[in-house]
Order: sequence, then C-alpha cells, then structure tokens
Amino acid sequence: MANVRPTLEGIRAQFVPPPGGYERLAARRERRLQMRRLSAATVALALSAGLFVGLWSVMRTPVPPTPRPAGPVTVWVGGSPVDVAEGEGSVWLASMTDPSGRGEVVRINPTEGRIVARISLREVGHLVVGEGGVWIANLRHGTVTRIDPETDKVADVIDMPPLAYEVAEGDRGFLPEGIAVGFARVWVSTARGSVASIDPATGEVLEVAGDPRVILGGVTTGGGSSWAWNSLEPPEAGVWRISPESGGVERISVPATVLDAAAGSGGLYVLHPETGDVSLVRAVGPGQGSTEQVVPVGSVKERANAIAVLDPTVYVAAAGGNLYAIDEGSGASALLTRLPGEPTALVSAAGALWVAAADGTVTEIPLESRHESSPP
Amino acid sequence: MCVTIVPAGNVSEEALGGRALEAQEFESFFRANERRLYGTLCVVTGDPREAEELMQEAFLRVWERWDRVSVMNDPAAYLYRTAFNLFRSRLRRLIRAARRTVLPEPPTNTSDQIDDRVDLLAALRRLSTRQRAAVVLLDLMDLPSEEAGEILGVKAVTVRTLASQARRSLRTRMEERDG
Repeated sequence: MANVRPTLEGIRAQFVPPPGGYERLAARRERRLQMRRLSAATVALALSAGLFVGLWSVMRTPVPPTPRPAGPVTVWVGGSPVDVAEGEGSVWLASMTDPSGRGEVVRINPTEGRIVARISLREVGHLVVGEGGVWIANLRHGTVTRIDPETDKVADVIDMPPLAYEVAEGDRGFLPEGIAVGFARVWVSTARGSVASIDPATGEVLEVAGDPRVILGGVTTGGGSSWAWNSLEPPEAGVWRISPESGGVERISVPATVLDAAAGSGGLYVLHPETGDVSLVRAVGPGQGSTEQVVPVGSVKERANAIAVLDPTVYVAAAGGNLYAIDEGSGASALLTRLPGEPTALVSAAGALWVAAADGTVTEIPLESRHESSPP
Repeated sequence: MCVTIVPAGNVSEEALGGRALEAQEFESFFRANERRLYGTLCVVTGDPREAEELMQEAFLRVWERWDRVSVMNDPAAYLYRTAFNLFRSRLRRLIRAARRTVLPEPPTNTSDQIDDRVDLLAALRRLSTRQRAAVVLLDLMDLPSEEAGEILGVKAVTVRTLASQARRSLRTRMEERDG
C-alpha cells in the first residue's frame, strides 16, 4: 500500500456531519454578537459610572459604600476560563490568554466581587486551593505550580515524575490535568491513567494508582476518600475510590460517561454530560457489589458541563447556560438562573456559587436567591 | 477622500441587502465545505464531537472575517488553516481524544476496498494525534511540510518524521493483513 490517500479519503467520506449545522452556527454567532454588545455596553456603563462617581466624590463628602445589590454579579476577567476554585478567603480563576496555554490566575474578593490580584503563568490548567497554596496543573509542561496566597507569587514548580508505564514508545510523561487537595496531600491525575499525590510540605511526589488502559478525567476528595473518574464509555465508564491511608483502589462502574464530579458527605456525585443525569457513588466499604454503590440522583435533562455540591443540594451547569439545583432527597431539579456564556467550571464559596464561563466571565450566584422556574 | 456618514441606528436598505447577500454567500460556502472539513477533523481528532466543535468555531471565525476572506484566492484554505490552528490550541482536550478514539466502527461490507478501509481505520486508531494530523495534512490535504509544520506548531522536519512514522505504521498493518 504505497499510497494511503485513497483510503484516507474513503474513511473521511464515512463521517457525515450532524444535521442543522448551519442553523447552530447562526445561533452561535448571534449569541456571540449579543455578548459583545453586552460587553461594550458594560464598559460604557462602567466608564460613565466611574466619571459620575468621580464627580460625585469631588462635590460631596464621603459616604459609606452602598451594599452590593442582591442577585448574580458577573466579573469579567478575560481570556478563556479553565477552572474556578475557592479558598484562603478568595475565589480563584485560571484563565487561558494564549493558545500556547499561557494565562493567568485571577484572585477575586468574593464579598466585594472585585479582582484583587492577577498572577501571570506560562501555562494554566485546573486549579485547587488548600494545604497552604493555590495549585495549578500544567499539562503541557508536566508540572504543578504552587502560588503562595500570602504573596500572590509563584512559590514552587514541581516536576511530575515519569509514569510507571509507557503510553507510547519512550513516552512516560505524566501530563497533569486533574487536581485536588485533601488528607494533607495534593492529588493529581493525568488522562494517561494515573493518579499521584504530592506532599505539600516537601514537594515529594508519590504515584498512587495507575492503569494505562484508563483515560482519567479528573480527581477530587471528599466523603472520606480521594476519587478519580475516567472518561470512558460504558461498560468501562467508572470511578476509582482511593483510600488516602493505604492507597488501595476500589473500581466502581457507573452507567454512563462522566465529565465532571464533586464529592459530598454521601460520596461522589458524577455528572453524565449527554443527558444531564447525576449519579451518586456511595462511599461504602470495599467488598460490596458495585451495582449497589451507584444510585441515580436526578437529571437536568440537557447537555451539561459542570457540577458542584453543597449538601444536600447538587448544582449542575448546563452547556447552554442554564444553572440548576437538584434536591438530593426528592431528585427534583429547579432552574436557578440563566447565564449568557457557556459554563466551564463551577464552585461553591461563601454561600454562593461561582460559575466560570467560556466568554471570559465568572458569575456569582447567591444561593439564597429564589429558583426561577422548573424545567420541563 | 470621500467619506459617507451613515447616522447611527439608521441602516440603509442597500446595506441590508448587502448583508443578506453576504449571508447567502457564506451559507453556500458553509454547505460546500461542511462535510469535507468535518470528515477531515474526525480523522484527525478521532472524536466526532470534538470535530463538530472545532468545525463550528472555525466557520464562525471565518464568518466574522467574511468580508476579507471571501475575496481571497482560496477561502477554503483559510478555513482549514483556522480549523487546524484551533485544533492545535485545544491540546488539553485532544490529549483525551487521542486516547479514546471513537473512529466509526468498521462496516460489515466485505469488498476489497472496504477491507482496506477497515484495516486502515484500525491502524489509524493506533497512531498518536500528531501522527494522524501530520499524515492528513501532507497526504490528504497535500500541504507542503513547511505549512503543515506552521499549523501544528512544529518544524517541517518533525512533520515529515511524524507522517513517515504514520505511513510506516499504516503500511505495516496492511502488510500484516496481506500476509
């Protein structure tokens, strides 16, 4: 077979795009134009407000600051937000500003809703806060960066050691993607099928579990365990429950592919993106049948991107911008609000949800706000 | 220099007609290129969802610059370059895609031509994302290695090496089949 071209062309011809592509494109363009108009209006409004406030302050004696209005507050940070986390009294957003992966970590004061620091990094990825640092997974560089929250400066860059196995000839690179803190360790996962933990005091890295056949989607901690979930289709779709003490791994199957997960006191809540279904993987002891460990929680009945848990409520951000609350007890879901941009990550902090969106914004949704309506 | 001032909020019928024409032109361009670009991106990424997302974003970016792109010698080349630039910048997601390739299941037809595709499909699954991209850019899209290297963000020699590795792997697979 000297020439592979005809066969490549044959394979290409087998793929037929889904119908309605142009209509989806037109809708996407309209949404983007609306966002731009909104951004321009916001900038103009901000400038006008700034001018007004300046004049006002010159003409009047200082008055106490006005309390923030109730309801969602959106902070525009720019770039393409990758992840959002909370800790050290702040909300932290990792946003990519360059296709090379370069970007910045933006620190936001959640009570004032304003940016208090911007830290430029050669690469940004998923991030987490705890154990004395803001930890960022650097996929391309194979490192984990620690920012010192006292100084808002990079304090360490930790090289991830090679994997215990080759993923291709001569390739053992640990490309960190998921990151979590808990049990006095920083937990890091790679899509290449491995989880490692870092001693935050020394930077020592220990590979905890690995399986080259598995593509891991991320890692989190909670409910007495460390958890990693894979990105595989059923019947391989599943999660690992990792014992923080022994490093022992329990493999649990789930009914559909997992995109995101969040731990609560009852176990791990996993989000199935295609249907918007949420399953709970119960933190029961080893030795029990895996089918008994996974129970359906509820569904938002639309494609979903991210999940967060604040017991007893599960929050799900749908790809179209709808944000839902699911009551774990009844399984009922309710629409909290609609966001203009496509949500990319979700975290709960200081009695509110913070939603990072692909349009370069992060929005605070106060949790005491009334649910807008119920989905069909 | 002649400057025409159009009052804000008062768009002329001529301008509206121009926009409609532009939208029609772009829609024709979309429909003419949609399937081929989608298929190419499916082969490269191995993930139809990823391919659809990349395709939509690439078309959107071309649409936003349509006044300039439409007068180019080869607007489709600009579209492909945009799509592959996006492909490169989405490395994070592609690393996942590279390891969960969901190229279509082999068809059940048993003709020689189909057999050939089935084997190549299996062989494509074994290539890395970069190898697949290199062989597609060089052998399917006929780009010079310098241009392919620019798109993939690597040197021309690296593209040639990647494509060569890919071809070798594909040929080995076919030779195994032929005994």
